[in-house]
Amino acid sequence: MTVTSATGTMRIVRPRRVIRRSEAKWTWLLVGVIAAILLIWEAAVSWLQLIPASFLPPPSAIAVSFGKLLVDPEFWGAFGYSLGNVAIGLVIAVVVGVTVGLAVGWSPVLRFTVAPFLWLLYSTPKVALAPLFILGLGLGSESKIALVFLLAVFPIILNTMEGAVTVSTSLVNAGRVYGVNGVALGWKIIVPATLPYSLSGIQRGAALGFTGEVLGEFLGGTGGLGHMLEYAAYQFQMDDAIAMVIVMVIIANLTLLLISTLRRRLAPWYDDRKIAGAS
Amino acid sequence: MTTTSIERNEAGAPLISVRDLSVSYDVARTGKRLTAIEGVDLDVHEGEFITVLGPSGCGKTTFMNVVAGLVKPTTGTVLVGGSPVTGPGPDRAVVFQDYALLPWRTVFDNVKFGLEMQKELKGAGWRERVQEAIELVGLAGFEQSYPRELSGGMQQRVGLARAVVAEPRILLMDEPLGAVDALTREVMRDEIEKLMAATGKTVLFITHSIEEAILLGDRIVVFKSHPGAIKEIIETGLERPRSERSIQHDPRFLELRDHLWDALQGEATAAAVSK
Amino acid sequence: MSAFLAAGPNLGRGGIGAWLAGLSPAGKAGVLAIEVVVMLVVWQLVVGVFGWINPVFLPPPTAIAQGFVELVAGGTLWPNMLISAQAWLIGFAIAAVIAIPVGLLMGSSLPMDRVVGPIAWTIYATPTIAYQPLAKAWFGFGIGPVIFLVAVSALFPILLNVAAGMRTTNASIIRAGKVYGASRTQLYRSVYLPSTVPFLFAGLRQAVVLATIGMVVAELAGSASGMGALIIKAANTYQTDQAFAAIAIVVAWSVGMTQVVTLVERWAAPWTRKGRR
Repeated sequence: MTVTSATGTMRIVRPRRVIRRSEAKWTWLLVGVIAAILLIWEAAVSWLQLIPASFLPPPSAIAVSFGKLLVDPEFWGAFGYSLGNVAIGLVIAVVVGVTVGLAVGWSPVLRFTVAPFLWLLYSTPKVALAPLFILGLGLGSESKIALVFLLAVFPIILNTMEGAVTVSTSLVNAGRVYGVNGVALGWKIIVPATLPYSLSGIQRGAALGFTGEVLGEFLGGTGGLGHMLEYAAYQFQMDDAIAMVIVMVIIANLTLLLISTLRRRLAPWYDDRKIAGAS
Repeated sequence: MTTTSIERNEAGAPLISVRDLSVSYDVARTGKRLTAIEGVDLDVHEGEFITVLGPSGCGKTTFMNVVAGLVKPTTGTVLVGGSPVTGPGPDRAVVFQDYALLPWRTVFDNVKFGLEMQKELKGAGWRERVQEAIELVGLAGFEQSYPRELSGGMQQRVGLARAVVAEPRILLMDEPLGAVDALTREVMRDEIEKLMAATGKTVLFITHSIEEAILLGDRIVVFKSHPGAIKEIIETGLERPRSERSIQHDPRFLELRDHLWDALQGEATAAAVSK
Repeated sequence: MSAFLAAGPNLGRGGIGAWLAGLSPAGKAGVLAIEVVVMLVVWQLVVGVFGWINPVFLPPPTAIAQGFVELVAGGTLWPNMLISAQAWLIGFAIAAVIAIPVGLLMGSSLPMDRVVGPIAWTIYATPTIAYQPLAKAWFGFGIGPVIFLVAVSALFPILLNVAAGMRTTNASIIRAGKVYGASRTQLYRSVYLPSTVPFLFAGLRQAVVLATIGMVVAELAGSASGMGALIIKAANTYQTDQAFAAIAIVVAWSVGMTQVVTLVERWAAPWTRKGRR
C-alpha cells in the first residue's frame, strides 16, 4: 500500500494483518516454510557439513547461544545501556522535533525560510557525522545520545510539519466557527490531527536512532549491544554474533509494533494508509 | 399512467435476453449471504436504448456486470445474440463511471486498447478507425495527451471512443456521467444521444438521474432495492432526436418525471401512484 | 502558543507570509538563494571570524572548501571515491536484480506474498547496521561487506514497493482490461506491469537514500578504503575540514543518484509527470 504525500514522496505502509479463518492457512504456510528453511540449514551445516559451522553455525547452535544470552547478566547490562541511550536521545528528539515541526508547519515564514534546510538535512546521510561526534563528545554515553538525537529528530520534524501543513483550513475554520480558539484550537484540533503524522515520524526516528546508537558503539566505547555484537563477530564466534543480531531484529520489530499500536490506540480514526511521510 | 413492458416490434429474437437472473454472494466479513439482484427478466432488441434507473445499492451495476461477463449469475441465464454469456467478449463494450483509462497511455493508445487486445492491429486501416473514433467524440488534437492532462468530461469521451472503436453490438454504460461535473454532464447527455442515434447501437445505460433516464432511453427499467429487482419497465415514447432543451417542457417528459420521482420514493408511495 | 498558531499557514493573511506565498517560482528560488548565501555568511562569521564555536568540531565553509582542495591535492579523494561508487553501484544493482522479480512474484501470487512478505518486513524494520559485523566476518575487510550492506539496505524498499504496486493495481482498470478482451498475459503486460512502474521508482528513490546510509555505515565501521574510511581517518587526525568535505561529497552522491532515478522515471514513465492541465 502506497500513499503519495503532500510532499510528493511515496512510501509503503505495512498492510494490516487481519486474522481470519482464511488467513490462518497462510500463517501455517509461513511457519512451515520457515521450519523448512531452518531444517535445510541445520542439515547443510551439521549433518552434511557442506558449510563449515564456524562460518555459518547451524540454527541449533544459535538457539543455544541465544538461550545463554538471556541468562547472561552482562547481556542485560548492555541491553539496559543501549536502550537507555536510545530512549534518552529519542525523548529529546520527540520534544524538539514535535515543537519545531509544529512551529515550522504553522508559520508560513518559518516554513519558507527553514523548511528547505530541514529537507536538505533530512535527506543527508547524517551517519557520516558519527566520527565527529565521537571526536567532540568522547567515548561515553553523551556522544551516543547526541547521535541518536541527531538521526531521530529530522523524520519527526518533517512528519509533524507535514501533518501541521495538512490540517486543512476547513478543519481549523470549523473549529473557529464553533468558537474554538487559541490554545484550545491547538489542543482540540491541531494536536490530534498531527499526532498520527508525528508518530509516523517517531517510528522512523526510532529506527534511525537505534542505528545511531549501534554505530556509536561500533566506533568507540566499551558497552552496549552493538559493542557485544561487534566483539563476538571480531572473535569469530558466529553463533553468538547471529544470536545478537536476532536480539536486534526483535528489538527493532517490537519497537515498531509498539509505536504502531500506540498510533492505532491514540488515533483510531486515522487510516494507516493516509499517513504519509518520506522514508 | 401507462406502464408497459410490451416487446417492441423488432423482427426476430431479442439481442439480449435475461431470464430469471439472480446474483448473490457471501460477505467474508459477516459470513452472511447477500442477494444483489433477484428474478430479473429483460429482453433488449437490436438498436434499443435502455436506461436502467434505480437508487444506489439496488444492484443495477451488478446487473450490468453480468451482461458484460464480469460477474457470473448465481441462477438464471443471460443470452446475447442467442448464446449464453460466459465472459467478456468483443460484442460488448463497457464505459465505466470512473473512466478506467490506462494512465500510462496517451488518448490515442487508450482508444487503441480494445483493438489491440483483440489482436486487430494487424490489418490496415486500424489507425484510421482509432482516429475516426477520437474525432467522433470531439477529441481531435488531444491524441498525444495523457489522461491526467484532461478534464473529467474529456476523459469520459476517451472512454466512449475506446468503447465504440471496436464496433461492438452492445454498449454497456455504467453511470458514465456520474463523476462528471454538472455542466459538462448536460452537454454530454446531448452528445451521447446524438452519437447513439447516429451509430444505432444497442445500449444499456445505468443511471440514477431521472432526467438522464428519460432523455436517453427508449425504455426505462426501474430497479428497486433489497433485494435488487426490476420494479417496472416504462416506454418513454418521446420523439427523437431529443435534447435537454427540446424535452424540458414536453408534457410527456413532465409526466414521466413525476411518475419516476414517485416510483423512487419507496414501495408504498409508488404503489399508490401507479394505480 | 496561541500567538504562533494564529499566524498559521491557513490563517495567516498579510505580512511576510502572504508576500512569500505570492512570489513567482523564480522569485521563490531567488529568496532561497539569498537565504543560502546569508546562512553560509553567518556560519563563516560565527565560526571563522568570531570563533564562537570551536572550528575543529564545525569548520567554517571556507575551511571545508580548503579541505576539499587538500583532499584532491593529496590524491586520497579519487581512489576512495571510486571504491565507494563501485561498491554502491554493484550493491544497488544486486538489490534491483533480486528485488524486482521477487517483488513481481510477491505481487502476483498470494502464497508468495504471505510467505515472503512477513519475512521481508521483519528484516526491513531492522536497521541494516545490525548485519554489518556479520558481513565483516564473512566477507573480510575489503569491498565485500560494503556491497553486502548496500544490497541489503536497497533490497527491501524496492521489493516491497514493487509488490505493493502489483497488489494495488486499480481494480477498475483491471476490469476494463478484461472487458476489452485482455488475456492473462496481456493483462500482466498491459495493466499490472505499467501500473507498478511508479511504485518501482518510488522504491528505487527510497533505496538510494538507504543504500547510501548502508555504504557509509559499512565503511565507517570497518573498511580500509572508501569515503567512510576517509571520513574516519580525517576525523581521527582532527582534520575535520577534510571530513566535512568528504561528507559533502557523500551528500552530493545521494542527491545526485536520486536525481538520476527521477530522470530515468521521466524518460521511462512520462505519464507520471505532474499534469499540464
